[in-house]
Amino acid sequence: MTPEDEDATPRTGRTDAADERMSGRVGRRGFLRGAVGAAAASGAAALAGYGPAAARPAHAETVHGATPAPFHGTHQSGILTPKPAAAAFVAFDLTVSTPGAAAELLRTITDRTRFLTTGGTPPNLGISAPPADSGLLGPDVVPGGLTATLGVGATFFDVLGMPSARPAQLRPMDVFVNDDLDPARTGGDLVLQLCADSRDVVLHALRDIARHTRGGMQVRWRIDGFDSPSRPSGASRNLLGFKDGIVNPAGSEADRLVWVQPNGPEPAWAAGGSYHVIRVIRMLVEFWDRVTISEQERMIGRRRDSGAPLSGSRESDVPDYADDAKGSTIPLDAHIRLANPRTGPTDASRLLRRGYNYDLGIDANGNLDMGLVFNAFVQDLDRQFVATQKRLADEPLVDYISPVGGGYFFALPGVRDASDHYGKALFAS
Amino acid sequence: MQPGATNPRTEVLASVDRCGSGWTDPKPGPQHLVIHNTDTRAGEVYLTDAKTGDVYAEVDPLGAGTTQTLDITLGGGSYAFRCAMEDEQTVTGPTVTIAGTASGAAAPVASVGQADLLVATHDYQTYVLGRLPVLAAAVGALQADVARDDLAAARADWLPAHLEYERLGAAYGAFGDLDGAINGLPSGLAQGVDDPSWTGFHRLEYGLWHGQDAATLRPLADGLAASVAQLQRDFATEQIDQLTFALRAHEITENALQFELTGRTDFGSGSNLQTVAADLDGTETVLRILEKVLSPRYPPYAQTLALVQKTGQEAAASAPLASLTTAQREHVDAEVSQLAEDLAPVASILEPRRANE
Repeated sequence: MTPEDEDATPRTGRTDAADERMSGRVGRRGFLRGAVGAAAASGAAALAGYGPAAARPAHAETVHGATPAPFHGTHQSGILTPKPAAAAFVAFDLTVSTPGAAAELLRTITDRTRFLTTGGTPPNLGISAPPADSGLLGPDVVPGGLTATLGVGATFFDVLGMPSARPAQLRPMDVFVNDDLDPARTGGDLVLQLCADSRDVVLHALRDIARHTRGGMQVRWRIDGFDSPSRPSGASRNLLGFKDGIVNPAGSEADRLVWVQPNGPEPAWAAGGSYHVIRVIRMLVEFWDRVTISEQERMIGRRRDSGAPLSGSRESDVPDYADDAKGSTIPLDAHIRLANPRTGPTDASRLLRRGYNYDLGIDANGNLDMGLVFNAFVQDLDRQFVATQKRLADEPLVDYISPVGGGYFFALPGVRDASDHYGKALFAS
Repeated sequence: MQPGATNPRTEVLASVDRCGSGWTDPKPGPQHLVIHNTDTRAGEVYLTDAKTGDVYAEVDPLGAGTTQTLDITLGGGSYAFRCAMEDEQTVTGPTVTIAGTASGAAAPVASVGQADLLVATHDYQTYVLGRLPVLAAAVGALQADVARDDLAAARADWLPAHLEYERLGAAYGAFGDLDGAINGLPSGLAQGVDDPSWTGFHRLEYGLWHGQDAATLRPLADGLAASVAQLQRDFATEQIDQLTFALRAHEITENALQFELTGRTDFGSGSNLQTVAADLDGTETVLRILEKVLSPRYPPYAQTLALVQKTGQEAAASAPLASLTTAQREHVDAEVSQLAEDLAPVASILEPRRANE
């Protein structure tokens, strides 16, 4: 926030010094820039191993030997990088309305995420202010596998009066035939996907970022996720008990399926970004547990125990539809068959999925409220996500799941280096 | 729970020619059977009682060339695999005898064939056909109230008409697209409660309890009457899927849990618990129609039927959902969700399986 923006930080009757600190001009962020500088060398080391197809980038050692995902790069981390155990998906609404204020907000988010994903020692503010860090991770902030992935929603461009900068397909999330969306859990001007090896790292990052951006954005909805351990092997299981995310595009396909390419239909600034689809899908697990195993397996198209397609014996077996035109092995309306029919024309509709399980307590009549944060990145919203979702309309599984929230976002291109920041190209466009 | 990986592993073949081959010397206790479909066709494989043909377990479907494990605890008795490969007559493999006993042994269930369900499905169709004129008359009364601008009468007549529909047991879209037109919800529609494509009982409920005028509601009441008339015509000529009908006994209760006891389908009338009672009436009707097929295969038949009745009577007499105390609400949630647990085996037991042919 800068003092020039009339709708920046709300005034609370604090002293000028406090206001100055909150505005970030010389206060907290000034100190933290120093801390980031100390960690920048390790960040740069990590950068060398980073590219869109790098399954696991080279890691730099930091204070406690934790492994930071790289922060700088052509693309953001948290998309192609391996999926760690804990996640938070947090949608925000802007409380500023000018491009200048929003640019400053994104610069603050850049500074904070650069520090948090790299790690380091928070500054001692002495008696000038409360402590700079929440202390959740101890005296030194460890990266803990943290990735922060920032996206913008269609309303970001409406609020800021920048319709021409909006990615071509970005819009409020479509309402699909089996949806039951709650507006309070849908949409948002910005979204932050935080992933890390453990929940405390995720929550530490969220508290830090929220603290530094109070006046510029407010949380609209939030859902935390977890990835289950592999049991007993292979892909992890969702809360229906089935292995999920068995098939995903290879890193080498990312330029065809994940990243927006330059010189196409999208604004120039968007190259290197990706459409980000989040769908909070409640699973009616009590009902599901009352369904026979053979009905469950026919709905999914895979064995529950092994994850093998019904046409195979192992998780890695490729479903065979050519020999099964009537669906006697894998029913024609099985989830995996509709989602990915494995035909030439549907090949380009494949998605990069990075889903997490969620557990939110109970609903109005005491049934468990849990499910899947469906989380996908695509190069082309309509060609990939929407086409897939339409194929799944009224599939048998819909009686056991209920999409209740989420949104369409655009994951920004990566922050390229220490002089770059989120939204730099966007606001220059 | 059986620690499957530690049980003795037995390879069993499934095909028209070699059904059950490989299972030669079983001992009582946990079995870890690895079943290979060596046929060129997909099929269903049943582990049966060799004397009666009753089914202990199944692998369904088992694709051509695939392998699937089957963990089950078996006591003394004689057993045989039955292989029902696609487009082929069923084949029963060699009889295998186990001497001795095992604790926790599975119990077999007599399989139900398509023919067993045919009579019950026909009885259900007859029942619904008999009730549809009652529904049409109740909807006609509602339609007439709206037509003459008497919305107080329409609010009074809405409930019996809606309950009459719920009593038919149309859970989870049993009546297809017409169920959506007659009893649909605004979820999944782009404009929610303001969406012009939302029609039926709940749309009328929303209007009647949210101060909408008769001119707005008239086309909706007329549309509802037309959809019910269409249902009468369709129902007289269309075949009901037998499996779908057998699932009704369980799914009506699930439907009540998901949509009524959460209050999700209350658009102003506050009648969710009366709807639950009507739904349980429908469940009772289905259970009675299925009695001949179900009661010999499902030991708790009589006590479950009694619980359906008791829960329904309590729900019908209850104060509106929103006014219940926590304890009262927990009580009705417990009863209906226990019923859902108790009725869940019905769908498994009544799934049609291929007998010895």
